[in-house]
Amino acid sequence: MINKPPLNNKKTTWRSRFSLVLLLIAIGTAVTYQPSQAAQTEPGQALFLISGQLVDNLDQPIPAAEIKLQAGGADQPLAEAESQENGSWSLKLTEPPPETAVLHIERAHFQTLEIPLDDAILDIFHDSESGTYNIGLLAMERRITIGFWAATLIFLGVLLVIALEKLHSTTAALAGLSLVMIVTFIGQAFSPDWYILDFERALTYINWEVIFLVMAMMIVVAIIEETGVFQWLAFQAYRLSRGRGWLLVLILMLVTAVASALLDNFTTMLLMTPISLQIGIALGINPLALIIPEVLASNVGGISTLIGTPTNILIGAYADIGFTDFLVNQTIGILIALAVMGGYILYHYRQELFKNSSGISPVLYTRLEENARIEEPAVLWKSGLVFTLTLVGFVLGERYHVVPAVPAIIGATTLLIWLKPDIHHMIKAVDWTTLVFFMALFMVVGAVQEVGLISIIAQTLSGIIGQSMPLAVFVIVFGVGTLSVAIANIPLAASMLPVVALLSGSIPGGSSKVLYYALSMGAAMGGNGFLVGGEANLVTAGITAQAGSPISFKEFMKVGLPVTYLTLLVGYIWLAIRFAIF
Amino acid sequence: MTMILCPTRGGQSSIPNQQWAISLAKERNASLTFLYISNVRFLERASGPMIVDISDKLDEMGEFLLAMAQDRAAQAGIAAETIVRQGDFQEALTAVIQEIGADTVVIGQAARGTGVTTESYMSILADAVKNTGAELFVVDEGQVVHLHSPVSKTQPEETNEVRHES
Repeated sequence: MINKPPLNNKKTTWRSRFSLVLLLIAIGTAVTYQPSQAAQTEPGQALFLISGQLVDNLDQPIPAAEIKLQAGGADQPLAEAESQENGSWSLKLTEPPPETAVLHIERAHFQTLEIPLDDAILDIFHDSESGTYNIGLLAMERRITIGFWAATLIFLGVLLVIALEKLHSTTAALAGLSLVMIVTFIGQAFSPDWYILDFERALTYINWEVIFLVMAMMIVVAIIEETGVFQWLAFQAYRLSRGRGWLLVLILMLVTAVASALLDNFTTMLLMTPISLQIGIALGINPLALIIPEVLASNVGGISTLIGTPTNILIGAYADIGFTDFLVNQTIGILIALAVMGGYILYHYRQELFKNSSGISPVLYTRLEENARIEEPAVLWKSGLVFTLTLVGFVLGERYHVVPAVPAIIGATTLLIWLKPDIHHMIKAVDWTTLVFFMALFMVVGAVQEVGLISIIAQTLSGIIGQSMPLAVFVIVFGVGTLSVAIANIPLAASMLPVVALLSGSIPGGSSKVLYYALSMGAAMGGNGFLVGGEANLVTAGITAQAGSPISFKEFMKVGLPVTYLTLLVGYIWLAIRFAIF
Repeated sequence: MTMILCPTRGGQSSIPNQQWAISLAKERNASLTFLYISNVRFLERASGPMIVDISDKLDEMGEFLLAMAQDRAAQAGIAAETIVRQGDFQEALTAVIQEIGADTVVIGQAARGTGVTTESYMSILADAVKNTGAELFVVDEGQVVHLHSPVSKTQPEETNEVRHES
């Protein structure tokens, strides 16, 4: 009898794990393996290829169209394919098409195309054992369906509900998305004309780059905010100004603008308002003479960088405009706009800002200094270093085609590992409400894009503007700026992006992306017109009301509206010079 | 000793009301406490990225505003106390009245532009002082515009609209 040697348990475990992994890979490969049509063609078998590209009446590619080649009388198609994102398609055949073959192209919201294959194509295939034929561009005509009207009404309803604050913007966007899905799936049972878009297609409209960039920046901001650097900066502004109101407001505006450019204007105002209120009240200056200029500067300052405003993040991701591009093409214009704004602010609040300050008592000064201290110096320099490296990552990333979300995620993760903050606290710091709003909004805007509303708006604008780039920039800067005075700028920018893309493609000089910068300026600067024009305005008003200094709609408008149009004018002139559009 | 409570937001329009409370404290030789109540519910309607918790910042702001009121009282020879609370105005006010045993409450009018009507504001104040037996003075620009006397077990509640110089 032979005794078997004892089994090496470790080795066995390792082997069994390895076998399991191999098995999983084999199963995975088998399940995911989808033989292509080309691969189905056996060696020596003939292959005939018909290809082309689908475009709409604005020469924009049409994806997700169903293309079939059918022989007369036959139920089964000879070949079928779906058009890609760039509108291209190709049909593969193993034998030459018959003379009765018809190309059948179907796509929701477009007129169906039926194209019999002409003799030229048939001759090519019949004269050889294999061959390819490119039909070229095929234009499909838009069709206005019930789905179009339903999607348009839903979209306008969402904008209206957000503007009137009847629902939280996230709830409004989710309600809009739900209605789109209900109309699509229930309405379709009655008539295919009710179709808007299905969920799978709606998901393709979500810009994940935006979602991850916003999320990572939220973590970075949440860590930096805890250091108290904003309050410290505001207090230094007070010290530098030595109580002179006019100098104090200019320094505070500059600090707020820079902070908004590097972080975001909403958070900047959340942190700057309480300390600015204290400084203003302590000095005997109407605190609103400091705070309203600050919020105006925060809305404009954010325009100079990719991460300064949510609208810039949207624009950057959509149009592939990087951190450096925004800096180079916007910063000087924004600085000039801030200077003009500063001049107007000094004039508007001259009675408050040029009066002799009553001074602060030593007790109040000490308390103010205490409230404005750097709370965690170690965290500040570490987070400052990582943040700087993240900005460098944005710049370098452009050279190596790395999207900004990547350095942002790396920066946020580095801070989480290095500083070891409470991860639960950090995850809570991410404002999921805003992220869900973005996702739902992308899908609702996708719905109106799908049904053709965006194309109609673009065509109408194109009809007004013609081929004139100066006029196009003017219309976008002032048109979007005026709309943004009353409409929330995020949904507005998200809706306008495809319109601007279409205009950029049709107007000579559009490849410089000047229209996207015009959109960036219009959307952000317009937020200064009314109190309801921007979230930073509203939250600032909420805080000042807590300190017995409420900002009325009228008071804000009296300074905000002139500032809006002054800065829009500066922005327009700057873009005209920078991109030499005349 | 009489205990006067003066809930205040600390803005420019609150200063005459704080001064009125200081004068009353001097006149009655009473203790004076300034109260600031912050409420971050206004943030619930905001759609911006809510990354930071500003409750602490608002508390610091409240402490600073009350320090200014305290400074004014000190200049008038009154050593005032300060209390900062968070949350619902009516609940916090009721709790503080009971906590410090305030028998007089001096408060300003409803702030303009906040959407709070005078009726609802007065109703909130009346409810807050109802079971505490505190006397309520509603002042506007240093003048009493409303006086709410304490409830007696045998007498009906007395509410007067008054307007006279402090």
